[in-house]
Amino acid sequence: MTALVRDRLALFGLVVIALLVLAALLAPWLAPYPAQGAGAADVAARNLAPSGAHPLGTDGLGRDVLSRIVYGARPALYVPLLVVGLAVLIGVPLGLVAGYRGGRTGEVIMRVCDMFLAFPPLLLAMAIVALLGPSLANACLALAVSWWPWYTRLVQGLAASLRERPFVEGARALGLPDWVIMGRHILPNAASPILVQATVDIGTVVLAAASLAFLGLGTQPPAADWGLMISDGRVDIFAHWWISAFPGLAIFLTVLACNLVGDALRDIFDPRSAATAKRAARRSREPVAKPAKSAKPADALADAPIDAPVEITAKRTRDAPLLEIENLRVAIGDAVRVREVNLTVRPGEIVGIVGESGCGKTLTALSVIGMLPPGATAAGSIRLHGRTLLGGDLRRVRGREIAMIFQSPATSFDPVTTIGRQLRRVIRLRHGLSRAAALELADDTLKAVGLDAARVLGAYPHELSGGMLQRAMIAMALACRPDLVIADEPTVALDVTVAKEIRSLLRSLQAEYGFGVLYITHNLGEVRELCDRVHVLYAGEVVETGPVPEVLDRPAHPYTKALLAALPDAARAGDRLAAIPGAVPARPDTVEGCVFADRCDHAMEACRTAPVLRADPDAAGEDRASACHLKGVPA
Amino acid sequence: MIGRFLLRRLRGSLLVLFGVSAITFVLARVVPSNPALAYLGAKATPEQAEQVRHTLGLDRPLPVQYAKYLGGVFRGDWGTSIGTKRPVLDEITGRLPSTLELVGSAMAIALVSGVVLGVAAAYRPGRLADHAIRVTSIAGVSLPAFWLGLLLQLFAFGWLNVLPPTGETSSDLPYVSPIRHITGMNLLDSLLTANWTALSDVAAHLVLPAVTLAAYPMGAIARMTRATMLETLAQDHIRVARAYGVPERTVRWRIALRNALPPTATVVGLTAAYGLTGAFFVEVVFDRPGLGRYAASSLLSLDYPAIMGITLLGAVAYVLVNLVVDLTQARLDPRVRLT
Repeated sequence: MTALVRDRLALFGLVVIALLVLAALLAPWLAPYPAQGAGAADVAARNLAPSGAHPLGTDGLGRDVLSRIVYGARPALYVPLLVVGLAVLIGVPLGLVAGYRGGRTGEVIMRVCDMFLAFPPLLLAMAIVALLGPSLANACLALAVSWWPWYTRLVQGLAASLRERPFVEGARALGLPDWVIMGRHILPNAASPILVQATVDIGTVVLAAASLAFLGLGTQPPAADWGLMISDGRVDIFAHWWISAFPGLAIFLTVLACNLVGDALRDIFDPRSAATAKRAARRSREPVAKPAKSAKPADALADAPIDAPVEITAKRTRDAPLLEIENLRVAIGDAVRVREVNLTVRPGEIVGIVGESGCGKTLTALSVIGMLPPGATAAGSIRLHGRTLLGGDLRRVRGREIAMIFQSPATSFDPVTTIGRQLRRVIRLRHGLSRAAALELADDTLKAVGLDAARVLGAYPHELSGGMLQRAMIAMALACRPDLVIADEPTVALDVTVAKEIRSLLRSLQAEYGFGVLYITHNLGEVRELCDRVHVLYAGEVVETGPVPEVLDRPAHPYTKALLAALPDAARAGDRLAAIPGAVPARPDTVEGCVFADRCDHAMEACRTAPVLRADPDAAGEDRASACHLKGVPA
Repeated sequence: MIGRFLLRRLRGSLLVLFGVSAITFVLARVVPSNPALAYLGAKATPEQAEQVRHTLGLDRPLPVQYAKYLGGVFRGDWGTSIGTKRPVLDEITGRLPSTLELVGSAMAIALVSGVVLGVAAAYRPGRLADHAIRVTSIAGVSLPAFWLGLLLQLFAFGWLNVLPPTGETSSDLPYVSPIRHITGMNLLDSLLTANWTALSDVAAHLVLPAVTLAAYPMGAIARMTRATMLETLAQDHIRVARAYGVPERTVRWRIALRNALPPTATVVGLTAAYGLTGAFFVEVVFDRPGLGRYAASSLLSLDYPAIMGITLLGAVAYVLVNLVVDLTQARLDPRVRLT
């Protein structure tokens, strides 16, 4: 739909440009009064309003306005072509030399260029044409002189970056002369930005040339020119509006067309920027989890307002689960990404979710806070303190009962606002505190995560290290006094020692404040360090779950075992790290049988049917379960 | 640090202004048209022309003339306007307040409406409102200002008869409630002297020209705001803010807009500098006695000292605006360092 509208606009632009070209080429045949179009007066028919004989009326000399507009298409077409052509001819070679050769010559070229760029091109053109004497030829020359530096700068930048590219360096290594490299390798790669710039500039020059003509500095009467026509009609605008109005419309449509086509070309030639724009468009819509139609009927508590303190005292006993996820199923479009995930976090417990990228770990976490990407739907049931979260309005749960810590601390903070202000904003939202009280809490919390509060409060994100930022992020979570913290690979972007410090900080804060943690990682080592229980996720399914020591010491599923073998500290010195061959299936929901069978050393006939997650009879503990047809993986 | 930055910039700016004045000077001297004749009028005798050439120093070598001109520029002697026979600098400074007021009002309108439209378009990218705003902003940068001005006159005076079409004040204002000048800007002065009659009269005369001049910067600002808003909204920290329950209104109007401001400031500066040239046309169309109308008549009458003065002023304005933009950038974005 978007593409269609976009194309339609560009199409409109192309049609207008085609009409302009036609009018310019066929003026003597298209104009109803060709002689008047070329300038002949008809004093008897002065200032006639639009009528059948003169669809757009006549001007002060009795000339048919439509014919004048058709003839005016000629300068409107060839002036910009000439000007932009000249500007490209002068500007591009200079830019190539300045960008590719650089050196003293390049320096001089760019200095001169900067000088010309130091004031508005139209002003320069006006001064030049006034000094040279008003005429169309001088106007063209003046405009070209004012416009070339833009191309020099554009091409200089492109050439300077292209010269470092391997194919150019290769050509240099082959000993090709510079002019061949510039012509064959640099210029073709710079062609599309030049074309985009030229398209837009043609519009701008139409406008500039019309402006010069309007002032009397461009086309001279009796030749037809849109800018001149507007100027002619200006004196009498209230009595004979059509004399100015229609030529102005012609200018407007022509410039608009060039801008629309230029925009469309930019999208075509710079797919990167178009793709980013589209991705930005998708991500900017506020994600709200939509319950799928297959969702189970909401439970009794669903109707209670989310904020109501529903039997909190009763629910927050040691054994009542804090977070319960039942039969969670997340689909993006029609691709099911997470299937039948069951998971509980009890108060004060750290529960890990582990698996490779693309296993649905983050989707599971995001569905808890209702921030699935647009187009994703979640079904099943997610409850916090027994209250249904899934499908509800979670804005008042986020940053209150649930706080989330994200992967990359460096980009998790607003780059143009101090950490102090960002913390304060969240604290004031959460606790409704005064500025001063919020500042105090921010200060205390930063100290609690081991930061120099005075320094960090006034610091901008780029002034702090990744480790410090992640501590600040943890402080933000902590300041919310949440019941549940969701940490999505919080240490993946940090170096090993800092990462270890962050994990031990999380562990000690958890012990002190007693919140539950849902800890997402791809590293079983972190799970061993931190978690009480673990769920191993593969291709959107829980393949094994249980208390950490048991799962890690006696893995029941081949995937868990493979993940363990891939740990650097599991391998003895000299051993090769065991990578898991193959990759997570792109569409696990289309796989028949066991989703891991393709990559499994132990795949057998039975694996053609999908195994179900069932309690492990051999293992002690009710939470222990795995989804594999094998009974215990051979060592 | 800021002192060193300003010093560096001053050096760079002087170089630019030197270049600009050299370009216009050379053009004014080497062109075939004879400045002495322009000064005297077409009926001058050869003897008179020779006399004027000598008085104006036109018979001396070009570099000497340029050095003399440049020295004058620094001493505040920008030459004598051929058209009015008055010092160019006086002509310029006398008319500058009116033009500044026009450009300032236009930029204020453009900034507010451009930012609001840009943010609104970024709300639901790809939807109808977004497309409507995008077409509006492209239209804004495609409109010839002098034509838009005429259309607005037709509409607001010719049809509705609610606003005066031309002039800076009503012709009887000097008798009814004269403005006591402090800054030279009518709107500001009538506000400062609490002259409400004059204020409403001046404002009514300013609306149409300001809106006309605002169309281009409005479109450019809206496009830039939309693009940077979308870019910002895709960033991680926006997701974090939402995950911490920050209301959508705050996310967009405070956090994302705050991030979108630095690139927008660049566009504001650039279009403000262009606004000076735009004001030439708007002042002609609306018959306002500002710098633009003086420039237009100087351009047509080959009043070369005036043309050089105006070009130089344009370059100075451009240099100043760029300086302000860079300082603003540094204030808005803590990552920007002034170098």
